[in-house]
Amino acid sequence: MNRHATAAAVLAILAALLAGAAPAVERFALPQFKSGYVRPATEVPAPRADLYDWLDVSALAAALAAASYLAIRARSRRGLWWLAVMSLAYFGFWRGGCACAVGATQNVALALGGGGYAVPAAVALFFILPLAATLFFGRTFCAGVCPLGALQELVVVRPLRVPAWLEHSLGLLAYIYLGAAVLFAATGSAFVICEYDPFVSIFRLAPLGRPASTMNALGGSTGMLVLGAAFLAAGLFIGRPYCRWLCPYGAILRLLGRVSRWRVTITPEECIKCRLCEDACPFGAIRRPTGDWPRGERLIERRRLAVLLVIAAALLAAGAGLGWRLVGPMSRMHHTVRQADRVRLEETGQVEGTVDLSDAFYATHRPPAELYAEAAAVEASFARASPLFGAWVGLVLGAKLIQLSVRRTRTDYEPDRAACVSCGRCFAYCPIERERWKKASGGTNAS
Amino acid sequence: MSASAATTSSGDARARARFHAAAASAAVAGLFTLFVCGFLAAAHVRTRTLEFHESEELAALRAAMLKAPDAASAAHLKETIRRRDLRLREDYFAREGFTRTGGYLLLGGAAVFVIALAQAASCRRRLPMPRPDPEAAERAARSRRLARVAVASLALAIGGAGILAGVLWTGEPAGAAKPAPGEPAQAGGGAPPAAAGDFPTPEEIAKQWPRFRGPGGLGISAYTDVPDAWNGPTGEGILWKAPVPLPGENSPVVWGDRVFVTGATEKNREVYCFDAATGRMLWQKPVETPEGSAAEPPEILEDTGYAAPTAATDGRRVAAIFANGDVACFDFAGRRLWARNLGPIKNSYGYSSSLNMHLGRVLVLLDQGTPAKPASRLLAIDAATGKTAWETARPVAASWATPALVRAAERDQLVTAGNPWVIAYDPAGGAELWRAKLLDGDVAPSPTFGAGLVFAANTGTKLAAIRPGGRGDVTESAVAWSAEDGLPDIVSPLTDGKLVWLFTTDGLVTCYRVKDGSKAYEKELEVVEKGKDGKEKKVGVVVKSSPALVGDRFYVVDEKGLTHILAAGEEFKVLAILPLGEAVRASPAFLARRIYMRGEKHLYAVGKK
Repeated sequence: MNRHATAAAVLAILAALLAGAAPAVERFALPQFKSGYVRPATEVPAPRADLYDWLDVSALAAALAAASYLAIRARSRRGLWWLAVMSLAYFGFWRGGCACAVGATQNVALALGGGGYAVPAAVALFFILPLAATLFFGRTFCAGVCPLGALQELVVVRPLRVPAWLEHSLGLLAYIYLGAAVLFAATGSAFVICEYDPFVSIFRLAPLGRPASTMNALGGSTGMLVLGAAFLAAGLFIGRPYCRWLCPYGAILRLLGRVSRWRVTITPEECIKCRLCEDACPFGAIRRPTGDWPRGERLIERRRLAVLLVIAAALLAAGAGLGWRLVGPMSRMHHTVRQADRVRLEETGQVEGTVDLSDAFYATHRPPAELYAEAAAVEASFARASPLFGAWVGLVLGAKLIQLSVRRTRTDYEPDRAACVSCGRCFAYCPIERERWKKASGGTNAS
Repeated sequence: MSASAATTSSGDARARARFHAAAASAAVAGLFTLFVCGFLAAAHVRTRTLEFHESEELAALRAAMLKAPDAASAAHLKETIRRRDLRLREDYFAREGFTRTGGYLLLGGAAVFVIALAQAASCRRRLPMPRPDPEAAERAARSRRLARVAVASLALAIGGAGILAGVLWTGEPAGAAKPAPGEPAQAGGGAPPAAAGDFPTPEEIAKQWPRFRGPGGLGISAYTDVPDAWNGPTGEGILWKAPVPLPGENSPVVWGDRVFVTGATEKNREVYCFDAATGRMLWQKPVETPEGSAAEPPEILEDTGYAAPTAATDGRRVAAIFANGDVACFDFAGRRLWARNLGPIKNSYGYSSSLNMHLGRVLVLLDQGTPAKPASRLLAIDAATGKTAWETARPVAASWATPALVRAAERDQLVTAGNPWVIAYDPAGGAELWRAKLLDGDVAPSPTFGAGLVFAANTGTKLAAIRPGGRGDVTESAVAWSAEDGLPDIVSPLTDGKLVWLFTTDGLVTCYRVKDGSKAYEKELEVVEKGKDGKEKKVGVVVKSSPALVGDRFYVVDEKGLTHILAAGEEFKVLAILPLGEAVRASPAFLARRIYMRGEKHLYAVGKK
């Protein structure tokens, strides 16, 4: 009860601190009066104070520290569960999913893209802190800090096992999505992670602390709300589908998780290979001992690896070539290129009438030549970045094929360094852990 | 039954009861969530389809108000619109509140559903019971093989999709703008017109009445020997009178021995050429575009009609434009050179900006849209070929004024008046010269020029005297003076360089001194009429035609066809009031010993034989 009361108190304090930061937006076109009525000047509230950005960063740092402590040191599944609830409430429902490390990837990419964008310090920290935490403690950010992960974590009811072969190929989608998100962000085209965040419309179902005019319930796209609901419905039976197969930030964390200094283990001591934990993970992240390899099979595997290395190089080259070929369609993600397309069609009489996109340009009364020049510059940046993206996709596919052909030797049951989200579900399945709990509580079970 | 068995049995019963309770709670919460979800979806669809600002009913009411026959009906409709608008807004916010509450209920229901389901699932959770698995290694190897196939399939799928996209992509680089076949240079270009050299000199133009309000659009007659006495009903001083087949509010334009007017109905558009000496119709040509004119007739105000814009001529060709956006050019023999459709022109009340001709090009002002969403542009069309020579987007809302074409600050300037900008362009290439944010509302009076100053005015804002020598935004720097009395709503201002006169549709004439903007007088035009009791009394007049300066006097024609000749001095002095015998809303054309006036149904030549 004490822990519950503490959690409630923390939430209440945060609620009091954040109340009132409200941007104002004109919702309706203002009428024009000819009767002499003087319209009062619109009063605009001050923008959200920097203080709140730093509060978000502090909350993130504290949550990361708590998650790492609970996962590695305290090994408390219940603690992680409550932390996930609090993170979901704060970063998800309270902050509307917009204090987000996942989306911050795009800000960083945009800044690195050379478009003159400077990443705000708070956003940069949102990107860096979870990466740093992962380098030291594994994916504890996913365990109880990320609101997207927390929401999926809490709805896992009866998880089904996804075949390992399918898991391997679906997991690649996250890397491809990461490449696309970086490409479009770096070229200033779109923040696709935010645009297609399936859970943000669910977070905004409850406009806590936000004016309905800016974050209207059901104000986002209906399609995104349906997509979010579909992910959650699937999440009842398939653990964390977005985290495992789509999350682009999770793809970076997977890479860093492989080299983390410390990480979650199933057992607090030596594994006795009782096999009780082998089906404990709903996310398919527990790896079994491998046993010895027959000598003949090793030879076959080596030959296959050599072939796959060549294939991987070919995939990389093919990806780069395909990326170069697709500069045209991909650059249409950029608003300026689409606008130039439309204006050109209108200017050369290939289409009749105007649309909002071209009207917006005409309202600037700039010559079309300027727009065409800007579009050409954007296309040039795509001409550089698209082959890189294609090569990245080829690399991801090739590397996966190689990884599937390289045998590692495992003697114990252990979490996969990349796939484990440090949720702590497996702790309770380990008899050694249970024995430890007994000792700690003087003979009675506790978690 | 042993004690332990009894305990187990009791524990099972509790577990079953817990499972049933959890399952029932999950079912109820699930149904509730589905129920709320359905309501929210229905409300969401309704909100999306019933946005109040897209209400067809409101749009229909607004259209009806614009066409209301009298002020009382318009006021009634206005009140109806306000009430309906308020109700739609209230509905909108009520729905929004409903959705917000629904959002909380949905989340609450879903949370209870998930918790109950998790509880039920935990009751049925099986403890792990690993069995010997001799095939584990073989299964793992098979799984890896399958995984390699799956990854290869994914690679093929991605590659195939990419290749397909690459093959299907037929677009061109957006940065490489190419003109359409046959099209000359685009906006900003100053390419020479197709018929270079085949256009009149300024001296030739000054002797004619080639466009709305004569040379430059200033309403100043180059001749002073203009008739000052006639009587239409008796035929005194009327040289000839010819019927015009189709109606139109446009004014006559004259070049040499040709007088041109246009007429249109909802379905037909025509250009007429009359013999200036006899009034005989030399030719009558329909206007249709090769690809067919706009199927939907434009929305117009009855007072504006379908042929409000005045034609323009350069002595070689005559160009005409109509409310549906059809623009056509004919030679003096009546052969059609080309026709195009620039519509639909989204311009409430109906399109009325008149054409200009300059250096062998037809200058078309297409002001459309609202201040928030302007869709206006200025085009130069090659008079010989009909191709667009240049085009410039304009940051103004719909307007009904006609640009003045003047020589100011040692350069040719096309001065336009719109909401909110008065903008001058280089008429040769379309480059913007200067702009001033001065006007508001529905701008119909055309700008004029005199004594080195541009005069632009509109009701509800001001009369501004602008120095036209600047560059860029000159709002703060170029306004010599401004005034706010007697502002015109339709009729264009007139100046002789010393005084500037404003005219309202209800006959108020306001005179300002050009040198300092001080007001010289403000008087109403009146006529004497016999009342029902037989007594004579003074009544006001309605003026829609724009006035013209003829030497030391100016001519104003009221809607009943009475021409008021006033002294062009600092004192209000009516010299004569002369009847035509037919309603007049068009502006007359003034030439040597002749005035050409368009009545409601006839074209008149006033003068002596």
